[in-house]
Amino acid sequence: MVAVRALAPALVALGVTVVLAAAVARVGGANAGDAIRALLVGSVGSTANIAATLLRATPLLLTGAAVMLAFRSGVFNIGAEGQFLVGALAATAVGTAPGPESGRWLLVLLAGAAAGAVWAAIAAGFRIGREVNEVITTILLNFVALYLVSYAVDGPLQEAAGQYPQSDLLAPGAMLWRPITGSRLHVGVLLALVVALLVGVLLSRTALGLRLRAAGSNAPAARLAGFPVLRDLTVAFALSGAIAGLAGAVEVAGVTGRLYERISPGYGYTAIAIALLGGLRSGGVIAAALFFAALSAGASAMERSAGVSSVLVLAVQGATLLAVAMLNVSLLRRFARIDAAEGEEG
Amino acid sequence: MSETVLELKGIRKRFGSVQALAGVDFRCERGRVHALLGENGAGKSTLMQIVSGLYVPDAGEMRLGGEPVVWRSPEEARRAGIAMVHQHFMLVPTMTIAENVALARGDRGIFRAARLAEGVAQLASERRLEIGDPGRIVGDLSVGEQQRIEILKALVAPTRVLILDEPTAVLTPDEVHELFALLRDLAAAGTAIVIVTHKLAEALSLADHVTVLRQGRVVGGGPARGFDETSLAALMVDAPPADIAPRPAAGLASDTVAAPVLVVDRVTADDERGVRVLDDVSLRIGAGRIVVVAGVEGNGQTELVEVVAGVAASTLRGLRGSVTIAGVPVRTPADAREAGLAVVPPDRQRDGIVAPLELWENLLLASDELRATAPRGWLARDREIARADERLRAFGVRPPDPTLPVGSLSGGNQQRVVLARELGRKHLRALVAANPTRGLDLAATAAVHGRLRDLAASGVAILVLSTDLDEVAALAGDVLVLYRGRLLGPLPASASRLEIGRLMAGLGAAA
Repeated sequence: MVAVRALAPALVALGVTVVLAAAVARVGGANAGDAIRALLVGSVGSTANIAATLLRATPLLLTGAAVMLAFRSGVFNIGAEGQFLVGALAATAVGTAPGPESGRWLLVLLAGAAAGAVWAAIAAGFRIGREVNEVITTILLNFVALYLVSYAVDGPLQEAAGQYPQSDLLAPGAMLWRPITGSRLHVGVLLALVVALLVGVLLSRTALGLRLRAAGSNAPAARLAGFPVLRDLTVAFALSGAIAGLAGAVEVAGVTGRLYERISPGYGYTAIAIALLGGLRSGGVIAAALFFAALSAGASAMERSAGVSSVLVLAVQGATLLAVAMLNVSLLRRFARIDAAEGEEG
Repeated sequence: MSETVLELKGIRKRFGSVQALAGVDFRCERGRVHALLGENGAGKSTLMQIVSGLYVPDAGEMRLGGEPVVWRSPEEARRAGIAMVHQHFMLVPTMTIAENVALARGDRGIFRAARLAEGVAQLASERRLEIGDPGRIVGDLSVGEQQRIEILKALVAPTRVLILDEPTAVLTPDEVHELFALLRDLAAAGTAIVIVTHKLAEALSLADHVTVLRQGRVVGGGPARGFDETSLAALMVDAPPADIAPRPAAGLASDTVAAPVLVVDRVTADDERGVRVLDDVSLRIGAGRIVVVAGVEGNGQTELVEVVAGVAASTLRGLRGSVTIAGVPVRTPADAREAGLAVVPPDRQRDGIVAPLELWENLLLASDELRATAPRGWLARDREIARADERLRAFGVRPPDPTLPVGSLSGGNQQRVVLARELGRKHLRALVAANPTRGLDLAATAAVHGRLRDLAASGVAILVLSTDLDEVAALAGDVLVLYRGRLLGPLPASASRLEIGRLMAGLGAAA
């Protein structure tokens, strides 16, 4: 019963995707079978394609884990995007600065995490000090972060050549290790996987995790239990921000090698969908991140070999999300009704 | 000439193992005010919820204007002319008065603020209700004004029976006067009015008729002029003095308690409305003693628990006085927990459990307990589940599966989880419990009372707040009464149920 409930959204997502992708292919004038084959081959059909999918999954997985940690702790952090951006910014600043190179990559990652944590802590301060809802502050901070990056790549961090609005390349020692020659696959992929699993362990196997979840679902009960609710809340904001900031650093030090304006195609927003699609559980979030990454990697292949516009595949992605969201709502409603019926007897 | 509007015969209703109503007859007449009296849990609210269509009775007959009726929904009852004003207001605080009334009326289409306000003002004057400017935001109104908006909402359609559930619970004395004047006007205009209350003086000053419920049965009633407060109190609490267990001689709340464990010293506090909820309350409870504070809900019990548990700083205003447990001052909930306090809060759904967390996790919701269980921060899941399994079985939690989310349990079983956690604490020096057996059946109630006595015997200082005179008697502790935030007593060991009941109802010492 529990297993069915956990798997249901994933199965529905897969089914809806296949059906819609076939329909989209028809509309686009292609053969449905060809299109779906292209989608599969493009995402998991070869070692190189699997690597591409994993690369795309990494920022999604980290920001998804960040959102999962926040949501389970009752913190509605909509700001993973902004935290990702300031993380990328700080990582670039540290990675392009002069100085000794050995081990620089570690400083880069730490700088990214620290910047994300500080960015989220601002929202924590507003919520605790002024009772301003973090949905508002984190969204607004996303814009601040976006323009901060715009300013940086056109100002203090602009490349020495001064030609494009982008930073210089990071020092070689600041880049993440790429174990496979000829592939862009970097160790950040593993790091993301480990972090996503650790978030799950933190939440379910530690005293801090129990306190965070208690405060997230029922703050008055957590307060009565004697838990340091405000301190824990700040920790939840900061940890979530740190993980999203780390995602930004990993993207710069693992993939792009430099900072530019559109470094994130909205990872921090897709992260919310991934966290929810994954049922706010580590395993689910990992699966959802891989699924989204495979879909977007496969989309380009579908465009190339079956002639279906990749924009249509993005529409499929959106529709999949909607289907899962509706399923979740109806599940939630059913639970609410059971609770209400049982509450009346008491 | 009186005319019966609503008549109930032989109404029965059972919830699980509790017979809430065991064959109740009730009627009310056009133009009259009827008071429905009883202790908490006597069945008053259930009866009125059947009348207003929220519950379907298991058996019995209901007639409105002589015609037999069966409600399939509250809307159906409303259309037939039965309106209810709930104790907890159902208003949208960010909207204007006019908009709230429009919502209740089911208005459709495009609202024009000015025309809507005009219409609502006219409706209010037709119903002889003073509401002031209908364009005001409801959240800015006083509680008394908000209640008037609730009444106006109830009167938007033709109303034959208007039911008010505990209408004076949240009002100041002046607002009570205004409300009563309004209700008499409405009755004079032909509406039958039912007020559900446990306040005897108010019932007698307003009502033409009274009906007293106890344990789901009508135990008395008739024209109000045939009763006084003493006779009503006797009906409500019943019970000959003989069935009270002998208590040890009183001697608490004075300096005679040697080495007190739980000390409340001259605590005074106001709620967020600025109404005094605790007024110079002092208690000294020694190791191994049980103190029972009896009182009708809304007289400061919730606040006293909050003060002892250390959460009052964030819920109450103008807090003065002090609480110490085993000599340690309590300023925060963590202070209280570290000093070894167990808390069974009055609202267990809100404060006692975290619904999505599993049962074993809910058993760890106390800061000192969690630290002792996970000294390095790691939770040993399997070990804790095994430990939880034992505790849940000992407290009869059904189903006793430690990995279920506590929100999936019934209310009574959630209460058992709270008790399993708080009474089963390793480090326990003092306990404060509000209605610890509410929602439990008789056997479970007896078991909990036994545990409380055992804990006292092992040296724990125990403070129980209860609205239930059976519980007061069963715990055989020292008894005080909390009335309007003031502690009365201690009562002598010879005090009868009637005397305690009179104090709870605010009638002063027994004659």
